[in-house]
Amino acid sequence: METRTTVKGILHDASGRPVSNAIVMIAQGSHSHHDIASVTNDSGEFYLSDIVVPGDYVLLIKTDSGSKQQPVSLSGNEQIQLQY
Amino acid sequence: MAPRMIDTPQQPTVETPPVSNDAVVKQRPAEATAAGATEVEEVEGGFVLLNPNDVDKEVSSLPTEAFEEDAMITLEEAGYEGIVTEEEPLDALFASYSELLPKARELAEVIIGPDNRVRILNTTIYPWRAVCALKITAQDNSRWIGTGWLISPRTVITAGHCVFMHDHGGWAKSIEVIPGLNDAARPYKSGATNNLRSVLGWTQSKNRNYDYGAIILPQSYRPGATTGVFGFGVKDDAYLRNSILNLSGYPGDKGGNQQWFMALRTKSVSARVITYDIDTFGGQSGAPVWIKVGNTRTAVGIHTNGAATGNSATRIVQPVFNNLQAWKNQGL
Repeated sequence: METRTTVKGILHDASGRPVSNAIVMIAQGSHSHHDIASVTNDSGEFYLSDIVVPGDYVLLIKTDSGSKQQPVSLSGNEQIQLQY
Repeated sequence: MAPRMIDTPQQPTVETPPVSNDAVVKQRPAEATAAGATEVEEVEGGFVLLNPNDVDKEVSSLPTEAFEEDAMITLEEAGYEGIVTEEEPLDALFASYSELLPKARELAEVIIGPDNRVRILNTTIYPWRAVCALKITAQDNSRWIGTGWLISPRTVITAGHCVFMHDHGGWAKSIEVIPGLNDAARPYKSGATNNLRSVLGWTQSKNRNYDYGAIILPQSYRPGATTGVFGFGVKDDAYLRNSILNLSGYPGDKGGNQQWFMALRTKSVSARVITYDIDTFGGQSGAPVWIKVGNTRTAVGIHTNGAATGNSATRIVQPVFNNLQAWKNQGL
């Protein structure tokens, strides 16, 4: 059954260090979503707020050095781990 | 087709939408009155079911009027470029509030087709200078970016979900407002506050139809007196369907510090929502959706959502107009 929830994620680099001050947002999705974007904190944490799950999304990560897209399939119970 | 992510600077920045004279003529009001029974709103996520008469009831982040003087960077005051607020006849005031469109079942893009956004290179020109970048800190200290727009010296209109975040402690802890932000340049400085407004239909019912709110800046920071402000008005269905919509904001895929603009004809209109294929991205929540006739600009919606079936704004109908007018007066 579809429901709305907020999913937490953590962004880290290839060496496992958290990436702070990156902007994370939904670039594509199977459901309507708020057009707000989350900014990662010092621990690399970000949120996808009030999204429909289960659902397939493509997230866009924007940092000072560039951007990257990453597809995710969310059930609502997981914590996302993204690498930039 | 994947969204275009190439960060190529484009030549802007004339707001004039790419429209024929014929289309401009069609923007002339064809006010029609619709009447109907008010339906009980669909309530999502187990939130409170409100009386339909209460959904647009104003709520504030602060309990009393003693809520001024938050953190701020002051601005010297200059002349006020007033823009007349249009008080148009309303339409469909009590029409049924049906859902706009069925949810998309397949993947699609917030960028619909090619990315046709244009960067605003000079944000010190009206109306771009009245569009504000928002740096939001929620009660749980999570940080977000959004967009707002000035309607009076100290009143900024934005999405309800930018001022009240249900899953992050409710009212935002603080919102920094940066009019005309242009990379590192802050031509009108910035101000921060936790003096926020929304309506019960959002804060209690979390209903998309009532996703709008306001930021009342401190007495000592009055950027709208310098930048000029947006007018706003209620337009009927026929008028909106035949209008070119303008939308400008601070998308996160561009870093959240640049203003990007696009204009396109309305896709569809429902009682409380305007839908369009204007390209948007996270960070543009709260952006103004306006129409321009001659030198008169009238905001008709507040951008809130991205979706496969079209991006959308909370429509300014009469109850929304009434609240915006009240909030405008609170920020004079």
